[in-house]
Amino acid sequence: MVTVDCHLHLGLMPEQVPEWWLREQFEGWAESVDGDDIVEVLDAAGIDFGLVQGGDIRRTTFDPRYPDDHHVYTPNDYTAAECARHAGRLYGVICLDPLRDPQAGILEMERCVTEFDFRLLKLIPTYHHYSPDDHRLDPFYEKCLELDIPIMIHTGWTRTINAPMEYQRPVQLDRVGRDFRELKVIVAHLGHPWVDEGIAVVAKHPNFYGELAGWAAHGPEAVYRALRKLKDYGAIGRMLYGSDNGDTQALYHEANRIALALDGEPVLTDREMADLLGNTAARLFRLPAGGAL
Amino acid sequence: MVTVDCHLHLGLTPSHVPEWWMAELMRFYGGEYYSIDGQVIVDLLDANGTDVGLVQGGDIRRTTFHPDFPDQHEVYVPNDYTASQVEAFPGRLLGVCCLDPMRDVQAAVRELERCVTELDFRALKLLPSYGHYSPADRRLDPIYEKALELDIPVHFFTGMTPIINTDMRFADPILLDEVGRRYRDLKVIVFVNFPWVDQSIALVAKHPNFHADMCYFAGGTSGQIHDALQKFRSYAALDRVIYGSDNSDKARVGEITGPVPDLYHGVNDVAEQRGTDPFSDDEIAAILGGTAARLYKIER
Repeated sequence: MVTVDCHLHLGLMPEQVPEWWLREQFEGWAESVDGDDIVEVLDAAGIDFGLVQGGDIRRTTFDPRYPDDHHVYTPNDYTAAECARHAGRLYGVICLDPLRDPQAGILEMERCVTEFDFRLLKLIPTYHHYSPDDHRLDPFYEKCLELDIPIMIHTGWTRTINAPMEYQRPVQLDRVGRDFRELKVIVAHLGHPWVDEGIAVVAKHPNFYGELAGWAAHGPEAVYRALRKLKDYGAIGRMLYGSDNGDTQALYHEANRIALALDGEPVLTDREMADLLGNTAARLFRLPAGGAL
Repeated sequence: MVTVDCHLHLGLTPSHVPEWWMAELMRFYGGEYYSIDGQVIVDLLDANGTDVGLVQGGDIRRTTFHPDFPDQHEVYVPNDYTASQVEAFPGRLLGVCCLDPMRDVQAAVRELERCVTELDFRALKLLPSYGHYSPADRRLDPIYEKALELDIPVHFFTGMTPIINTDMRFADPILLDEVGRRYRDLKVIVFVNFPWVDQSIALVAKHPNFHADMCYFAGGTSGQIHDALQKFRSYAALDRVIYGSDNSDKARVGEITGPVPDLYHGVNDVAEQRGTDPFSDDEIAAILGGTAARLYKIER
């Protein structure tokens, strides 16, 4: 069995991320996270592999208290360096602002895959003030298909005030699913609080996947309800494990205990649990099926 | 009191609907599909103990597409086929006019008039997400005005469908709010459907001439129906809820199967368990047919 955490964030404070930005985002918490910290999280959780992401939110970062401080930028080169320091445990996620310079973005994707062996592209529409069904994004979807990598798209809420909520709805991924039927799309956070919408797009599109990073705050009952619906729609096999820098495996075991009490059977079979915690991700990101630990 | 099922589909595979389309439609539910003519629908009505069924065909030719079957767009169950099946079962089946309004708006207006005045159809069905248009698109105004003139309800599909080429932006029930504001006298039937069940309930509650088609719950439990009905009651909109089965011939509650309307008769057991207010026999009877009989002008 292999275990994979597909949703982990790197970033050094203050050189890559200002303290105010982290405090706003994480309700007061603000610390640097490097590759060592992430491997520590993985070891404590007993997880084989981690997909790590930086980020470039310079264009759209703004706080009236710090009007000149836009520097939220953890470059792909930093991510690559941390992956190289922890080869075999960490794999890189391409992070870029596709509307800063679309052609440069496409070249950066190619560089990250061919030079750094990154496994995934991450887009964060709400932070970058665009809808994922904007046709300006089409070259990035096409490039993912050409490079044969999946794309993870942030959907749902964030505490960052300057992120417009109108770009958080999972239904905005429907056109991507129709126009790029072969593209593997990971609906990050399953659209919380638009969870039913998130489930609907994942169920509708056979190459869509879901993950529940950040759901520790919502609790195991919410996880149970989401998994129950995904199972009813035949999409339970397309769920991945993502933690947002922690160990959230207990949520899934708790959801199973709730299901046992309510339905008389677990919502995740042993096989489905193993697939969610790593098998599906290992196939998707082409990671060693035998694990690393 | 008469019992009415507001949501039943006709269609022959493959002459009306390609095999791939039916397989895609049924993929969440076990993949079984078969041709459905008037006799199949009357058998469903009998199995559910329902007097009258509203039957619909469909025209999705313009927007049907699958990359593996790029030349197969023919999803088309014509109104004349619906009329022939209604004619074969007088008193049991009533027709619903189905058309693609964006193919030719003026032709659609004439077809609606023909279906109501010549074929005695009782409603118009529109499928915005299948047809890639917003129900609030002003190009539809002549259709809504004709429905008002003919005094028939317009029934809208909203919510999720397994058909991949549908455009989910146009499946959002909130788009009907503008229709309700601009056409306050238009009778509208909203398919209360996942993933926007609560939004649909609020929408129906807001507009006094909106009604709720409950067929999404035909595959669910009395508990789910209880929860939805309590919400309708809290908004004082319970008298605009109407029963539909979406061709389901049996309710499944654990290992027990029975007629779909039994799910409604079971809501008071749930109310007792949860300590909520029960529903009166008259309220349940209105949902199962009384309200629909007024809406569709069914005399019995």
